[in-house]
Amino acid sequence: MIDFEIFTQQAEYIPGESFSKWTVTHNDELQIIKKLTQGGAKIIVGPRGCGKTTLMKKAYNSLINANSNSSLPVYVNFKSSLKLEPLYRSNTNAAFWFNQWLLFKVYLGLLESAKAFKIEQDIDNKISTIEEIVNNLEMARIDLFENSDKHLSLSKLEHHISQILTDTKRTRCVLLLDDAGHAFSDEQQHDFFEFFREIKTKSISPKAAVYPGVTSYSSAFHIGHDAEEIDVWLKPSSNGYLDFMYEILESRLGKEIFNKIKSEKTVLDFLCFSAYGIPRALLNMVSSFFKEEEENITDGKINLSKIKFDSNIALKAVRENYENNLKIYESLKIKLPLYKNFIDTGSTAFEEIQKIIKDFNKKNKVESQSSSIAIQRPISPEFSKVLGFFQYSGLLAPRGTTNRGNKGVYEIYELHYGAIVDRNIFFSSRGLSLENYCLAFNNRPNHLYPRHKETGLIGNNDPSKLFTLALPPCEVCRTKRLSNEARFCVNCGIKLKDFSVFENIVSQDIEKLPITLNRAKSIKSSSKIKTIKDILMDYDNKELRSVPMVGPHWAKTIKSYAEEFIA
Amino acid sequence: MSIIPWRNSVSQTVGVEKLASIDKFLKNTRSPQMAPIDIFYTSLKEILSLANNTAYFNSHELTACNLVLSLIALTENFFRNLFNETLKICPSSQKVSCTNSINLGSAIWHNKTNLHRAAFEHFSFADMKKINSSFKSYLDIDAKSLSAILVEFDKVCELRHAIVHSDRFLAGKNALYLEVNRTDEEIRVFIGNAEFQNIASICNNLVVSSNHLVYVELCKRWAIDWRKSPSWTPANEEELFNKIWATYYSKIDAKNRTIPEKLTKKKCMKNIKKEYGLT
Repeated sequence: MIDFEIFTQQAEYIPGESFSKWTVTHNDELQIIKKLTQGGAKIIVGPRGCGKTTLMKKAYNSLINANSNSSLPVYVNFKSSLKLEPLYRSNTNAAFWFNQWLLFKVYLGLLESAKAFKIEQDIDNKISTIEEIVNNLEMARIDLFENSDKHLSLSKLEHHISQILTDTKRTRCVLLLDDAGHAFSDEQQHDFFEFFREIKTKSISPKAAVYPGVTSYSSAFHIGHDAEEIDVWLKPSSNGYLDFMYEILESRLGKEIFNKIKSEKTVLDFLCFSAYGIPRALLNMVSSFFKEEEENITDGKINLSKIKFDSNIALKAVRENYENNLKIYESLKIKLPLYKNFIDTGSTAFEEIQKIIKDFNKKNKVESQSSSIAIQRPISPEFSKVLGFFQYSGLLAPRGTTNRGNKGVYEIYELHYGAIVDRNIFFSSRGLSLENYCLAFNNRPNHLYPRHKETGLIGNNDPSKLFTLALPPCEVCRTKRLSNEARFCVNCGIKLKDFSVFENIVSQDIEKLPITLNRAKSIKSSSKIKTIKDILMDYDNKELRSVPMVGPHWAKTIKSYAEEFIA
Repeated sequence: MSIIPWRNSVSQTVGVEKLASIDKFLKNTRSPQMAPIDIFYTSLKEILSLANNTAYFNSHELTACNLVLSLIALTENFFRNLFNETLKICPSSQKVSCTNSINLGSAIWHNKTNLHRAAFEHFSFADMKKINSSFKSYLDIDAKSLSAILVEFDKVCELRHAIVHSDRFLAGKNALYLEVNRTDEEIRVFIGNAEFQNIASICNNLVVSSNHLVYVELCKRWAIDWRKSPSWTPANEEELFNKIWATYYSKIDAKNRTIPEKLTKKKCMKNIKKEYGLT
C-alpha cells in the first residue's frame, strides 16, 4: 500500500523529513549546489518542474547542517509576487510597496533560518508579526502602512543579517530567492532585479531562480557582470540521465515498487526520456499508473498488486503530460495578453517546426532520427520572443549554435520528446514501438538536423506584420490604441488603463488548471468555486474538501495548481 | 565726408516695434465651477486633442515641446486650485498656513473670494521640493505617498528648463541631475508622440494621486480633527462633507465610469462615519 503524498511534485510542498529522503543528486548538480552555497550572485534558469526549488532547498539544507565557517542560508519563495501587481495599476508608489514586500519576505526567511539555528528569543512572535505584514501587503492593504513606521529599509535588513551572521558565527549570507523571475509583470521584473543588484554585498550573495525565455532583466542589470547565469535544465543526453531518473523514482516509491516498475524497463525508459529532463513530469506520469486503479483505493492508499505498468498507459501518460506543456504555452495568452498574436503565430511556427523535422527524419535510420532544428541568424526580436515562450513552456530547448561558414550561423533548438511521441516525428510508422523510441532517444545524433530560416517557419510572411501587439482598446469608448506607447485615448482623451495581469489570471475558469474537465465540472457544480481566485481564497481548502472525491491530497494538489498558475 | 559702410554688414536692420494695447492680449474669463481635478482633465483633453496626429507630432518637435510646457503649466495650475480650494474649506489647513506670507501685489489685485489663490501665485509648482513643502506648510499633509511620482515629475521639470530657457539645449546642471551619459556633443530635448504621452501620463498621475491624498486626509479631519474644534457644529456635518465632495469628486471620471468604488455622496459619508466609529 502506498500513500499519495509520494507524488507531491513541487519541492516547496514536500515536508522537511521527506525532502531529504526523496531527493537525489545528479552529478551535474554538485557543481550547481556548490555555486549556490558559495559567494557571488547567481541566476539559475530552467522551466517549470526541472528542479530549481529542489536545488535551492538542497543548498539550504546543506548549509544549515554545515560547520560554522560556511554561509548562512536564507530561503525565500516569491511565487505570490503577482498578488502585488494590481498595485502598479492603482498606486503611484507601487514600486516602493513591492520593494517593502521583497524586504519583508527576505526578513521572514532570515527569521526562519534563525529559528533553525535556535539562536533568537521570541522568534515565533517575530515571525507571525512579519507574516502579517507580508499578508497585508499581498492583500494591497497599503492604508495600514502609509502612516506607520513599519517600513523596512535595505540598510535595516543588512543590519539584521549581519547580527544573525555574528550569532551563528557564519561569514556570509546566501539568499536563495526562489520563483524570482516575476515573469508576467514587466514592472515587477525591473524592480526585482534592481533589488537583486542592490542587496548584493561582500557578505550577502543573492541567488535567484527564474524561468527561461520570459525573464527580462532591468536595463541596469547585466548578466555576467551583476550575476552569473546557470542553466539547470538536465538534458536527456547528459551522462547518467536515466540512472538519475531511476533514483528519483526509487527514493520516492521505495525499492520494492521501483523494482516492479523496472521489470518493464522499456516502458520505464520511455517515460524517463519523455519527461525530457523534468523530474516533476516523470512523477506526474508515473502517478497516472496509480490513478488508473482508483476503485482500489482504501483509506487514501492504493493496492500495488493491481498496478499494470504497460505501454498503452505509458503512451497515454506521455501524451497527457505533453498536453500540459501545450497548455502552459497557451496560458501565456492570459498571462501576457499583449503577446496574444505572437503566441498564435508561434503555434503555427511550432507546427511547421514539427513538420520539418518529421520530413527530415523520413530518410534516416532508427538510430539517426533528429529531434532538433537549426534556425539561421539573424532571428528577429519578435521571433526570438516566441522562441523564449517555447522555452518557458518546455516545448523547445536551446542546444547552442553552429557556424556553417558561408552558410551562416544557426541556433539549434530541440523538440520536447513528448512532442516527438505525440506527433510521431520519429519513424513516421503507424505501429508504435517503445523499443525503437528508446533506441532513438538514446542515440541523439549531434550534427543531424534540418536547417531553416525564420521566415520559412512563419509562411514567408513579414515578421513585423505578423507579430503585432494585442493592445487593449480604450475602456470607455472602445477606440483602438494607436501604439504601445499611447497613454491616452485619441478619441475621448481618457487615460488608457493597462489591465491587471493578476486580475485577468485569477478570474479564469478553473478548467484552465491542469485537472480533468470532469473534475473541474464536479468542483463547480458541488461548491461555490468557479474561478482560480475562488480556490486561492478558499482558506484551509474547506470549500474544495466539500466536493465529492476531493480528499486532503487532491485539495492540496488543486490548491498548488492554482498557486502555480499565478507564479 | 562719406560714411564708410561696415556697421550694417552683418544683419538686416529693424525699426520701431511696440506691444499693441495690452487688452488685445488678454481676455476676461470666469473660473470654471468645477473640482480642480476636472479643470485639469478639461484642459488636458484640449491639449491632447492637438497631439493626436502622431505623424505630424513626430515631425514637429517644437510643437511637441511647447505642448509639454502647457502640460506642466496645467499641472502647476491644478496645485494652485487644489491648495486654494482646500484652504477655503479646511480649518486645520487654515491654522497651519496662517503664518505663511502673501505677496502684497497679489493681495491687492485679487478680490476677497480669490484671496487664497494669491498665496500661491508667486511661486512655481514645477519642482518636487516646492510641492512637498507646500503640502506641509499650507495643508499640513505629508506627501510621502507621492514621492515616486514626484521624482518622475521632477525629471519632466528638468526637461522643461531646457525648453523654456535654452531653446531645448540641455544645460549641464539639468544633465547631471538627470544622470545623462556624458558626450562631446550638445544635447537637445526631443519630444515625439510617445514621449509626449509619457509626460502627459506623469502629470495626470501626479494630479490624480494628489487629489486622492488630500481627499482622504480631509475626510479623516472631517471625521476626527474638525469635530474637536470649539467651532464645530454637528448640524453642519453634512454641509461640510458636501464641500469636501464638491472639491475632490470628479464628475468627469464618474461620467466615464472610471471610479473604482462607485458610491453616492451620502453612502460615502456613511462609510466614512462607519470607519471612524461615528455611527
